[in-house]
Amino acid sequence: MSVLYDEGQQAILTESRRVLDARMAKERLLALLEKTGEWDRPFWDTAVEQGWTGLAIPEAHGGLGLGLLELGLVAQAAGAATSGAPFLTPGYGVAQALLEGTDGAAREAWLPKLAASQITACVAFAEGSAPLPARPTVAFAAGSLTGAKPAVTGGAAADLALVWAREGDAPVLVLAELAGVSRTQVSSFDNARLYADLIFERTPAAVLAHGEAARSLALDVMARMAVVTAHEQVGGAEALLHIARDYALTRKAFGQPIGAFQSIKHRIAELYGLVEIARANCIHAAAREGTPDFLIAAADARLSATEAYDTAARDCIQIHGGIGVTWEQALHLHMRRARSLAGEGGSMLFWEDLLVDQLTGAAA
Amino acid sequence: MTESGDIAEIRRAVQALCAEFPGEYWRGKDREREYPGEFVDALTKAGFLAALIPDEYGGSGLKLDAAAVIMEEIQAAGCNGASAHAQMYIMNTLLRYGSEEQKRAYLPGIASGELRLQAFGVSEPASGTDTLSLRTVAVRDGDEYVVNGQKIWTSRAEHSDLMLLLARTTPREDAAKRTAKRTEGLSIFLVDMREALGKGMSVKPIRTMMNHSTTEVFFDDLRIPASSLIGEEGKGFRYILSGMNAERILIAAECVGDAKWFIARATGYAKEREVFGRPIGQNQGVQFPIARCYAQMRAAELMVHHAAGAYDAGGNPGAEANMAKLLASEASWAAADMCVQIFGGFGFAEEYDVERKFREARLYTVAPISTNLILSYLAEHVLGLPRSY
Repeated sequence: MSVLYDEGQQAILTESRRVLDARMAKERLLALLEKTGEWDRPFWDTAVEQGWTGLAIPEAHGGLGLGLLELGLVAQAAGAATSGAPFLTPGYGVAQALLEGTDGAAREAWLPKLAASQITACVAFAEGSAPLPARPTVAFAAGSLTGAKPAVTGGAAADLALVWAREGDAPVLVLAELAGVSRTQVSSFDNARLYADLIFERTPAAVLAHGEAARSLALDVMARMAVVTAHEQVGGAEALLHIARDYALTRKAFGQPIGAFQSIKHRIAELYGLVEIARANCIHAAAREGTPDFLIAAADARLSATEAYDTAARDCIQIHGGIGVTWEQALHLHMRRARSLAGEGGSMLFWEDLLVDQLTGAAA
Repeated sequence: MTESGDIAEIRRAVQALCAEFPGEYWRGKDREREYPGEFVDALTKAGFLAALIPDEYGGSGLKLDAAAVIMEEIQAAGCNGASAHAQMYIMNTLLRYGSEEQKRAYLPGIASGELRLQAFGVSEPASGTDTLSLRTVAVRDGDEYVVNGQKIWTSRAEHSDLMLLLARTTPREDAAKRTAKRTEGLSIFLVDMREALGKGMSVKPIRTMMNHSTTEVFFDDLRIPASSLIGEEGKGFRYILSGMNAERILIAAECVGDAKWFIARATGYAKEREVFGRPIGQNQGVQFPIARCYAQMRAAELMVHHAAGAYDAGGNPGAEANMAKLLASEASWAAADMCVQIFGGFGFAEEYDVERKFREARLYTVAPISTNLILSYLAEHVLGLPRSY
């Protein structure tokens, strides 16, 4: 199936890029690297003002009623600007869980607030190296949560958490307010991601799904967030591709632009291939939202986008030579973001395993 | 690397011999799927295949490092040592663990080439790298053993007089109970194939993508004298392990030779071939892949000599032998792939030999041990990670 963006979607892409180009400043992002617990508020203000936080929330719940394709376009622009903010993707994931979950009261209470950006949310599924542990240690009993979730993206400042937990022997997906929860900020190489350990101690929580339904809802939420993240990665990779191309055209060595050397220009050409493949996978995945092969398409998008962004970060710095590793040049913002996005919401190993499971299931 | 005069002399001698067997000889053999008997005879007459047999049994008593140089030069000259390399290392098990009587009976014949020991029956259809699960059995009956079962990938069985055979003499569960060692219960036999053919043993060739003379061997109540047993009954698995390290080092040396051949061919072609008014080798897109393969080959070559040196110093360097084989087979395969790419369409034309060597080089990331098992070995025995299989 081929997808062409329509006029409205094209406008979203152009406009989000224009706004971010005008408002983002790498000096601001560089300063954030040296602080723990701080994030790029001007970006978030822009996201709120532009309506991006409610983009994929139905109109009945106060959103704009658009879908993954449109949110993906915004994420691409955010990725190019290494902004993203830690709340755009999880906010969408939590909204989807509320829409698909069984708790009508929670849906009515939280969705409009998410759409209007009155609150921020995070997704706390992972424990240790398992993005979705078969038997989570965080326990849910008698309406409350106990246990710890390590290094949750956005955890240092979010108001609400969607938590993968266990009730007896069955998994549950629950929603908890974080007001009274103790948090330990985690200092990282990409501090604006607001990583924090969340420590629940008899924290009240509402059940959105239970048992097998919880597992499939959790996977769906992860896949949806993976598609958004993949768009963000493609945006970053494409930005690096352009930076590398521009530098190769202007920087001279041995009396000619370095882009005349095949080892440089072929590398950039190969990067172009990686970016376009990842972009195609992203568009395909966004268009398969809600279909039976969505998980496969999401894994494809996530894997190819991770590879594209990682490669772009590495190659772009290589092409720049010494200047590429300077603080001011700020290519390391992309290098850091490429690595943090590669690990968040399921590593490549997780998505590869999931893909294998899905494909063997299809063949059997 | 500076080499001793002896090693340099061996290189020159092997090069001179191989010059008598140019590409067209090998193309002809490949086309007709024939065994390169003339080449193997010439190697034998020159004494190269007896390199590792001690002087007292009629061999040259060379070290493994020298033997590795012989195999490397054969491959670097575009020839295919796979037709005979086993003659060099299979006898190692006999040399290390055979009785004095067995050594006197067989080694001089093997050294002179009168007796061909080219076949090593280990792999079976249901047990590839999992050697301990092999099913071929040898049951003692008076002063004989009765052998039943099947071997696969037994190379050169049609061109060998003797076969080293690994068979189970104690059922796996009994061996485990009795000795608490999972590696016990297999035994090694030296089977005289001339006697056995048609009397309980049959050989069926397997056609492969390269000219490799590999076969399946079937045993149906084959009776062999009890004196064919090498060493003690039940210890066969341990005996073959030391031989396998020598095998891996020699095959790694062959891979280095292959890589050298591909790199030399690619370099020569890149200098001569002109496109857009200049040699293609002036393009970075052409010269960099060759240069990268050269660096990869040299690194592998160092590991091969390091492993051979450790072996010659009296050790049993499992990690080094495995790493040499891993690195060298990947270097030769990378060089093969690169060479086809540099030659463009001519890489597929028979007359340049590139496609033949490409097919032949593909074998060594799979055989005699696959890359996966080498990685498993390093992970478990060198790094102390849990066994993964």
